[in-house]
Amino acid sequence: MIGVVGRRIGIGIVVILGVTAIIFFVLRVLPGNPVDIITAGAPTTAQERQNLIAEFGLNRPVLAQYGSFLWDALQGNFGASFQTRQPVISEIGQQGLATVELTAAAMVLTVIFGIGLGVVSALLHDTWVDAAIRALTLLGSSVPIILSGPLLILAFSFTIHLFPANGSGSFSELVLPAVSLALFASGVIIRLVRGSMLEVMNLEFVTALRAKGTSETRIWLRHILRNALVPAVTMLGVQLGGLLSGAVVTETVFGRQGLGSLLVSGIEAKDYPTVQAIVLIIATAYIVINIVVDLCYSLLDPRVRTGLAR
Amino acid sequence: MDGRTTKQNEEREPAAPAPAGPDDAGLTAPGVDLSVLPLLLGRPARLPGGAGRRWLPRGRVGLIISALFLAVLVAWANAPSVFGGSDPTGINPLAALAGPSARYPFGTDQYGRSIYDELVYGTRPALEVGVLSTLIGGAVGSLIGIIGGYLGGWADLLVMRLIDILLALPGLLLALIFIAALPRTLPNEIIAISVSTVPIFARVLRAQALQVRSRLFVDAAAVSGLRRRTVVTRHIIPNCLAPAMSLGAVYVGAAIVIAASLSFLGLGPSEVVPDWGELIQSGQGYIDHDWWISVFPGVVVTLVVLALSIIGDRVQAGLEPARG
Repeated sequence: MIGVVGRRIGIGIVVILGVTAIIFFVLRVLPGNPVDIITAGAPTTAQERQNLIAEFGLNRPVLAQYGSFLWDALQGNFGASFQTRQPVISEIGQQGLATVELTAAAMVLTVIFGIGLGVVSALLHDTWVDAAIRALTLLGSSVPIILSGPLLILAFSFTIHLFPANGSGSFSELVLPAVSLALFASGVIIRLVRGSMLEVMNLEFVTALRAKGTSETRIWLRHILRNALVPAVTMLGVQLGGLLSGAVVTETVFGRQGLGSLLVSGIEAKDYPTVQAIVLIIATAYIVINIVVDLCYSLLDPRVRTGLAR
Repeated sequence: MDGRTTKQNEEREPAAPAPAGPDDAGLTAPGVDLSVLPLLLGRPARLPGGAGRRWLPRGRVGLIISALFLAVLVAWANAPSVFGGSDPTGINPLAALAGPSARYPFGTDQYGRSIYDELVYGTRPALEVGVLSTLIGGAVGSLIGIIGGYLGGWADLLVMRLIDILLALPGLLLALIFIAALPRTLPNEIIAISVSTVPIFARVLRAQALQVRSRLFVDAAAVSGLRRRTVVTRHIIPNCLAPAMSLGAVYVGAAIVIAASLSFLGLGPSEVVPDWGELIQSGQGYIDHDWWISVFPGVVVTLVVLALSIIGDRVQAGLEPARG
């Protein structure tokens, strides 16, 4: 077990390092100069441009820049924003909470929709209820957030005045964005829970349980659902990535504060430190949570604990 | 439970002739497995095994509607002036914010431009991004995956870590880094979205290559003295094309959504006018009264995704018997 944990964490560190390399080198090596963007519109002398390049450290060798970026990032220092000259991390700290709130709310809804509807769909498989759930799921996961957002606003903010159309802070302002994100993310979970429950349903151990007289409720909830949850939990971890990147769009649609809005404005201004820091923080969160999810397997699937699985 | 009765029903249905398995494709003709085509057009193959395995309805109606809808889009993309009038960007203040009517089937925007015309003209760039970025990213990703899966060992380890790293930047995020670095043009957007499709194809194709590698005919080919390169190009790759195609169909839709989302965020290519994502974005401020500006383009994007996932699912279903 300890070997498994160590290996998983080791891979996680390698992956995070790889992510930093991709972020850094794509931004620094590809053409496109932030100084051009920042000085666009304002007359600047060659000297002023040189000063800016030196201030941002862009005149140093790329590898040296990468090295100090890594070293500083390890200490939680992501440099100063090209736009505001303030430390990037303080702004991220202010905005990050809104994104965590949104993603967490969407995740809770995804679990409720995903597992709830998946179980209902499997229990009533090949009935009209199942067909309706599948049709709605197919539709729900095909509607992009840039449409579901405006539609939810139209329905719940302007037609029936239930939730505000935009803003961030209060709970009622969180509902529509979270629903819009969860609609998109729960389709896969519903499909997976239904599929794996139906698969487990036909296994021999279920017949054995029936034969020894276990109640039907107990078979479904304690045995079939539990076995079907393993892939669902993995997929929830993977879907977190969808939620985090979906949050970028959702925040813009609903005019919410958060890392997404900060990232988009950072990209527009070629504010590299801001972009680097946000992408790295999101990716790290995603990787760490997925390691935790992997380790949680052992709670659901004893075979992992004893090293018998896979 | 009623599991047993349903299963009987399924079994009673006549089994469609199994499509030519990948084994045949590998040993006879290299290249695209044409056994997919009749499945796209005609009778579905029935899956062996299990009640309620199906997810999407397997009826022919959905498939025909999807194909027809995509045909309409291709027509729009190729002859926008025939379907969408002569001037999609002309401003006409007198007709601003008019609802759907015979003259303006999808209404007009705040400048009096016909939403329908703008949609028609926006089809070509949207499809270009979807198809090209899937082709490029799919080809690169598939190649990486097949190499890792077939060679195994260190190569595979390297491929797996690369996939892990790229997947740690899900969907939009990976594309966003490239968007941040590169100037906003259509080719650059295609590059950015291609990169974000690479890990998904690599992961699926690696699994497929692993599975194909363990098949008997691959051993037979190796034992009969074929060079490794020939085994890969004539046997491994043809047998990996099927899942790549099914995934490709779905990812064209995903790429179109990513492109529309980028434009919505104001990060789309600047030369593309009109642009689907920008249309949806421009209607957001008018959603309370003039909903048609956002909703019609949004519905078109949704229908593209829907149609492509129905087709992709069918392609996969047709190829699944090979699994057994």
